Amino acid sequence: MLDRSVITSSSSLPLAKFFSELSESAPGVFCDVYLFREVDYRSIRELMEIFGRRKKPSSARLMSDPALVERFIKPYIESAIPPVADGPRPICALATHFSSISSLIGANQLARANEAEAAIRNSVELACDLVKSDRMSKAIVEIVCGDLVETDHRALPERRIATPVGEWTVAEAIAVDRDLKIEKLMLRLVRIVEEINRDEDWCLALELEPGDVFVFNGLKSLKTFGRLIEEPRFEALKGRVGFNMDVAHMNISDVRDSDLQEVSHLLVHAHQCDTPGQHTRDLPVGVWDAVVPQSNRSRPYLEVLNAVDPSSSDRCGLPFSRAVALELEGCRQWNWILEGLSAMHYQFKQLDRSSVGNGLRVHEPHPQPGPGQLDQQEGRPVRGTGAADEV
Amino acid sequence: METEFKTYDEPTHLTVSCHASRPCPVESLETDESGNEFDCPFAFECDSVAVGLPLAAAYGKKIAVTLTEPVGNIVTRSEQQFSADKSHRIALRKHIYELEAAPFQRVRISDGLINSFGARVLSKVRRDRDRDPNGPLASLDEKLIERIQAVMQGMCNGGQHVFEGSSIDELSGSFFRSIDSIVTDLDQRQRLESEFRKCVSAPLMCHSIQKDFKLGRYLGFVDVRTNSIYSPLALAILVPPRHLRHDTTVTLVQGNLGKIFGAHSFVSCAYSMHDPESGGAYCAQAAMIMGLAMLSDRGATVRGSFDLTHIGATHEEVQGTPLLDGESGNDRLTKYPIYGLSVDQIITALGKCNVQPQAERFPISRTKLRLIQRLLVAYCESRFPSLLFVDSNVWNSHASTNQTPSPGIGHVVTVIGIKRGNESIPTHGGSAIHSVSHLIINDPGAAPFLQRTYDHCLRSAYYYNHNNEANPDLKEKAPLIFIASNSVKRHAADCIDTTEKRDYSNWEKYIGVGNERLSTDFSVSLVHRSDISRRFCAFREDFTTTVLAKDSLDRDERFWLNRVRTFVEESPDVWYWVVAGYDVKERTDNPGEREGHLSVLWLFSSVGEHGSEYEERILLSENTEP
Repeated sequence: MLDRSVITSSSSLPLAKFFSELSESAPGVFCDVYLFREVDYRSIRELMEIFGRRKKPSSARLMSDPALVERFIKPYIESAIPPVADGPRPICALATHFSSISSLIGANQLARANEAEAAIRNSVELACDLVKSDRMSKAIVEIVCGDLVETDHRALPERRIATPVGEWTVAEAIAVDRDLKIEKLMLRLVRIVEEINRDEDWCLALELEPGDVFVFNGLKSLKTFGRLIEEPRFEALKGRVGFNMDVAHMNISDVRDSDLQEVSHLLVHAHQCDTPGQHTRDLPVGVWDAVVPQSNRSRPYLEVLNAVDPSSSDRCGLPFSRAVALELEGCRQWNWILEGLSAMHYQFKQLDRSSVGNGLRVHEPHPQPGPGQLDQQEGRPVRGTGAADEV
Repeated sequence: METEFKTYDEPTHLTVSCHASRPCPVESLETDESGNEFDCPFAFECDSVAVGLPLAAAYGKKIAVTLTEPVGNIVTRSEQQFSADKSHRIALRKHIYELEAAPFQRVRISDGLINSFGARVLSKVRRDRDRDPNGPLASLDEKLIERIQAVMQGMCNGGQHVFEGSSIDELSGSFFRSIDSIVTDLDQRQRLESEFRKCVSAPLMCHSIQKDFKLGRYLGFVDVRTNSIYSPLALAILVPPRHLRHDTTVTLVQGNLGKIFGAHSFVSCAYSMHDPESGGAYCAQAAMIMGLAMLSDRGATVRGSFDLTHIGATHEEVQGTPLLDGESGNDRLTKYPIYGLSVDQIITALGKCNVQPQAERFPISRTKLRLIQRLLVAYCESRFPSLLFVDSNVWNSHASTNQTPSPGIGHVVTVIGIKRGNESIPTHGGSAIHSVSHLIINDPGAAPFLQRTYDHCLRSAYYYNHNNEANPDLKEKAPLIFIASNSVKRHAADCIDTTEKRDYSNWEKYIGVGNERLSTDFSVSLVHRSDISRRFCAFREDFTTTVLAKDSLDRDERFWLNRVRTFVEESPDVWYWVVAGYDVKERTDNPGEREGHLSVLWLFSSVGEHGSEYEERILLSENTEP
C-alpha cells in the first residue's frame, strides 16, 4: 500500500509540535518538511536576532548559506523529529520553493539564480544528513521550476498614465520561451548534481505546477523534459532527477494518467489534495471528489504511482518514496489534515485491493516497525488509535 | 451608500469568538520556552487591511468579521508570480456577518496601528503631491508634512485607544482638530481627510466580533491581499445585500460558489478588486475573474490575474537581450505590457478558460438600447455575467447628461444583475413590460453590488470608444462581452444577426409571435416594417426578435410551434430562453389565410444544479441556417 505523508506547510504549528501532533493523531503517517516556514523562522530565536523579527528573509537566502543550515536549520529539524533506527523513518522528503532557479536574464538575476542553486545543493546535503541520522529514508528534495517571466523584468516603468484614482505606472514583462527555460534549467541541474558528492541515495523531484506562467506546467513540458534527459549532455541527471507528481496539479493541468505512463519511470514522490478542478484552495482529499473507486479523479494517477517498480533498470537507481503527501497550503485546521489522511487511507486500501484483483503487481509495503509493533489485521504501526485511519 | 435595513432574518446570538489579530482559531498559537506567545505573522495585516470601505458601500457599516483564516487563493497566488514576493502568496479570508445589534461598538486601536495609519497617509500624500504638481497638495511642503507627522505621533501616548459609536468620525475628528492650525487650506484638508478615512476604515468599519453583538445573516467571505491597502479584496464570495436580495424586481447572477472556493455552500456572487500596483493586472482581468468565478459552477476555469495578463496580452519579440550564460536570447524572448486588455484580448483569454465569450459592439440607437436590455435580461436570468466597457470619467462622474465629459481611460465592469423599474414599455399585445432601470454592477475599482442606472451605464459605454480616431468603425458603439458556459455554441446576438441577414423581399414577414397572449413581462417584440410595428411599437429600424420564456407559451400556442414542440414540451420545467424567427405568408392554396412557422435559433436552460451540464442547445431549423 502507498504510504501517507503530510507536508508541514499544511500547518502553522512549529515543527516539534507538528510532529508530535501527527504521531499522536495519525500514527504511521510520515511528513515532508518544508524549508522554511515563517513559524519555523520564528521558532529559532537566534536566527531572528540575526535577520530581525519583522519579516522572514527568503528561504533561498537562508538555505543558500551552509553555515546557517548547519548551525540553525539542521539542529531545529533534528530536535523536533527524533531518529528512528529500526523502523520507518519519519521524513519522506524535503520540500523547497526556490523559484529563481530558472532565471535567465539580468545581472541581479544571476545572483538570485546562484543563490537558488546553492540553496538546492544545501537542501540535498541536509537531506543526506537526515538520512544519515535515521530521520529520513531517502534523500528526496522537491523543487519547483520557476516562472517563464523574469523577475527583474516585471516592473520596468515604461510610461505613466493618469487614472481617476491617481497616476499609475505601466510595467512590462519579459517572458522566455518554455523549452529554452527547461533546457537551461536542466543545464543548471547538471551543475548541481555534479557538485554534490554524497554516498547517500538522493534525488531532486521536479514539481509540475498548473498555470500558464509556470515553466513546468503541463504535458508539453513533461515531454520536453523526458526527451531532453535522453540526450548525452544531460546524462548526469539520470538517477538523480525525477518527478514529484502532484495529483491535484495533474488534474488541473489536464495531464492524463495515460500521458504519465511515458514518464512513470521518473516518478519519485507524490502530493495530493482535493480541488474542484481548478486551483481555488487546497482542500482535504475527499471533500470535493468522492474517494469511491468508480468516480475518483485521483485514482488513475495513484494507480500509475502504485505500479512504479523502484528496481526497474529504466530508473537508473532513482529513489522512490512510495508515499503521497497531503498538501493543504495555508491551512490552519488540524481536523482538515486528519480528514484528508482518513480519505487517503481508504483510497490506498481500495487501490491495493483492486490492483490485486486486476493482476497488477503489488509492491512490498514500506519498511515496517519491528516485531510486536504491528497491528495484526491492518499491518500498520500501532502507536495509538488515530482518527486519521477511520474511514 | 448607507442603508438602514429592516430585520428579515432571526438574529443569531454570538456563538463564535475570535480575535481579529489571531487568524488561526483552530490551531492554537504556540508558546516559546519562556511562555511567550508567538506573534501571528498575519496579525498586523489582519488588523490593518481596509476591507471596510468597499464592503460598506454594499452592506452599510453594520457588518462584523467573525473569523479570519489564512488561505491559498488563486488570485494572490498568481499575483505573487508577478510581484515575486512569496510573503504575499497567502491571503487572509475574513468571514463576514450582518450585524443585527451592536449597542456599544467599542473599537480598540493600538498606538502602533495609528502610527502606521499616519505613515501610510503621509506616504500617499507625498506620492500624490509629487505626481500632480498642480493638484491641491502641491503646496504641502515637507516641513508641513513633518509637523503633521509630529501631531500624529503626539496622539500616540502609549497603550490603546478606545472609540465608541461612529469611530471613524471620532478618530478623524480628533486628528483633524489637532492639525487645524497647521493645514488651513480646505482642499488640502479634504484630501488628507479622505486619505485618512481610507486608511483607518479597516478595523473601524469591519469589526472583529465582540460579545454585545448579535449576528444576522452570513454574508460570505473576502480573501484579502496582505500587501494592498487600496485594493484589498483579491476575491470575495458574497451574499447580495438585503436591499437586492429581497427586491423582487432584481435578478442577479448567483450560484453556489462557496464550496468551489473552499468554504461551505451558499448562494452568492463573486467579486474581485484589481491591484495595478503589485498584481500584474488591471480592471479587465479582475472583471474576467468575476465572470469566470460566477461560471465556475458550470465548468469555467478561474485563472489568476497575472495569468490572464500573460495569456491575453499581445506578445512582441525582444531582440538583443543576452541570457545569463552569454547566449543570445533572440527569437526566444517576448515582452508584453502589464496593463488592461482590449476587447479582442479579453476574448482570447476567456477562450482559454472553458467558457464561450461573445463580444458585441452595439450602435447606440433606441432600438438597440432595447435590444441590449433584453439580452442583458436573458443573460442574467440564465446566470451568465457580462462585461461592460465604459469610459472611466463618465462612469465615475455624476455630471448631467447634457455635458460632454472629458475623455477618461477605458474601464471594464461586470454586469451581475438587472433591476426593473416602474416605467413600462407598451408591447404589441397591449400589455406592458417593465424596462430595466438599473444594472447591478461589480466594479473592480470600487465595490460590489453597485446600482447604476441603465442610462448611465450605456452612456458610459457609448463614450468608451468616443475618441477612437484610429478606428472610426468602433466609435459611438457600446462594447459588451457576454460570457456563457461552454455548452452554449452560439450566442443570442449571433442568432439575431442571422435573422437580420435573411432575405425578406418576397414575404410579408415579421419575426416574432403575433399573438398577444405570448407577451409576458420578459418578452419583447421589435417589429420591422409591418402594420403591427406601426400600431404597437415605436421601432422602425430593427427586425422583430422575440425573446421568450418557455413558461410564457400556453398549450394552444405550442400547437403552433411545430418546429419546437418536441423540445418545448419535453424539456424540463425550467426557464428556457428562445430567440425565434417566425415567418408568415399567405397560403397559396387558400388565399386570405396565413400560415407560419417558428424557427428556434437559440435555446438554453437558465438554471441547473452545480456540476450538472446545462442543456443548452442550438436548434437551427432548415430555413434559418446562416
